[in-house]
This record gives sequence, C-alpha cells and structure tokens, in this order.
Amino acid sequence: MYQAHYGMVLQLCLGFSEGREDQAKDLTQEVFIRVWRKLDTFREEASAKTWIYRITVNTCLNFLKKQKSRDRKLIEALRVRSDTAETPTDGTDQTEVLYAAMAKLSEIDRLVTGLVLDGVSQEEIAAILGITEGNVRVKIHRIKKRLQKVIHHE
Amino acid sequence: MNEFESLKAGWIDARTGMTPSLSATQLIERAQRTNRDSLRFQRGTLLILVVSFLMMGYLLLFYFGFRETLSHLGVGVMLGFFLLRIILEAYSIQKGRAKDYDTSATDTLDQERNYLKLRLRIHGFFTYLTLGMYTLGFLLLLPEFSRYISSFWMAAMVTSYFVPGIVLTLIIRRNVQKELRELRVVVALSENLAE
Repeated sequence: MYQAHYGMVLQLCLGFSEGREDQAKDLTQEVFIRVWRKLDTFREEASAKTWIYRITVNTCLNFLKKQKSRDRKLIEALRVRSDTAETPTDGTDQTEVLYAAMAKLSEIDRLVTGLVLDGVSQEEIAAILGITEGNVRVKIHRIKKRLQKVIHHE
Repeated sequence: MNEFESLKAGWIDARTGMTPSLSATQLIERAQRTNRDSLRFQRGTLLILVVSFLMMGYLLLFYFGFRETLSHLGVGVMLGFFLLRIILEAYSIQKGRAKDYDTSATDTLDQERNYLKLRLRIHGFFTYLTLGMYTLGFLLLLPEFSRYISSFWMAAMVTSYFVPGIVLTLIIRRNVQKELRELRVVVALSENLAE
C-alpha cells in the first residue's frame, strides 16, 4: 500500500505546499504514519485510494491549523491568495508552472485541484471533503477559471 | 478547457520516479517511535500532576496537621479542585487520542473544532477556576499559619505563592490564546470548505 500510493500522496502534498519538496515529504510521511495507525479500522466500504486521499487531505488541513495559528495572520491567508504571492520556483518546467499557479489558490482549492488532476470523480471528491457534489462542481469551475487566469497572467 | 486536460496529463507524468526515501519497515519503526513518544509525553503530564497532588495531599493532610475547621475547608478546596483538574486533563487526553483522520474533511474539522472547544474550556475556564479556588483554599489556611509563624515568614510565604501564581497565569493565558488561534483557523477552514 505504501509503495503503491506514495507518488499519489507526495504529489497531492507537493501541490498543497506550493512545490516545497521538504514540506511535502514530511507531510507524506505523516500521512503514511496515520495510515499505519488506522489500518485495523480500515473498512473496505471505500477503496484504499479514497481512504488514503481522506487521510492526506486531513493531514494537510491539520498542518495548516498548526502553521496558521503560529503566524497569527490566519484568516486572510485562508482566502484566495494574492497574485503577487512568492513561490519557490522559476516556473520553467510545466509541473513547476502548475505548482506556482496552484500557490495562488486557497489551500483547500489546491487540494481539490490535486484531486481533480488525479482524475478523482466529483462524487468521490464530495465524499472525501464531506460536501455536496454541487459544491464540488462550483469549486472546480472557480478553480479552472482562476488557474487559466493565473497561467495566462490575465 | 483542453489546457486543463494537458495539465492533468503532465501531473500524472510528473509522478513517475517518485519513490519513498524510507522503506516500509523504517516507516513503521518511525510510527512506533512517534506513538511511544506521544504516549510517554501524555503519561508524563498526568504523572507530574498526580505526584504533585500526592505530595500536596501529604503536606496538607499529614505534615502540617491543621486543627481548625477553616483550614480543613481550605485543604478540601485545594485538593478537590486539583483533583478535578487532573480528571479533566485525563479526559482531554483520552478525547485527543480518539480523534479520527480517516473521515471526511468536514467531519474531521467538526471533530477538531469540538476538541479545541473542550481544550479551551479546560485550559481556560476550568484552569482559572482551579487557580482561583486553589488560591481561596490557600487564603483559608493563612489564619492558622499566622498563629505559628512570624509576620516576616507569613509575608514570605504569601509572596512565594503569588509570584509563581502570576507567572503561571501568564503561561496559561498564552496557551489559551494559541488554542484560540487554532480554533479560529479550524472555523475558517470549515467556512472555506463550505463556500
């Protein structure tokens, strides 16, 4: 399970952490530690993949809770990011361009983007996040528009 | 947006070659170590509280040997509220361990919000209540103490109680503010998720 899903988790964490590899690797490790702890409670109602996605999303949100409560400028940081936000990439490679564009989204939208790019269905995303499919559709529409704007520097 | 489809393809391609730096065995060892450390820390906190309670119980009940009703009331208030604080801490630790990370993000955030509200009640209201009642209990002991020790030592004893008490209150206040900030983040995340 660890070997098979490592890349999937790391990439979702990379998208979430604006392409910062060290942070993403730490998060990925935390995810798999939680997976290991919860293995005995894993019921096969959901696929292992969906289950791991849930743990990944929750681990990222928990990281955010700790990080934001430290720097005190929390609420505004959870909103859509400023177009001038710095990202640790020169934007030459396509994936780096994508991480840089994702960095302009709110953290939750980054996670949704990662799930969409991974090919997860809207129904599954709704179950992972615990929101309605309609809400997921609205989010995806908004994200696509924003990404387009950012990538084309509109 | 066809461009989005090409981003999707690039995203999947970028995954090739991503391999874990730790083997599964190393990861399990790390998880076991983290579990052990966290358990040791939680047990350590409770152990410190219980040992302090026992030492305080010994001093107040046996060593000083208070005779007056007012002092007995003071001892009862001090020990009773200290015990209540220990029970609440144990309850909070147990609740913290029961948190799930494999439910939906909304459920996990709700769970986290309830847990933080509980921590805030324990670390805020109940801790201040404990400190207040503990101080009241301490003040109730003073009349009997004053019969046996000089004014100088009485003043020294009262000062040595209140100075650390103020420092402790400031530390508690800082922790409460930290938990309050965490709660605000969780609330903001829930709102962001529902938008």
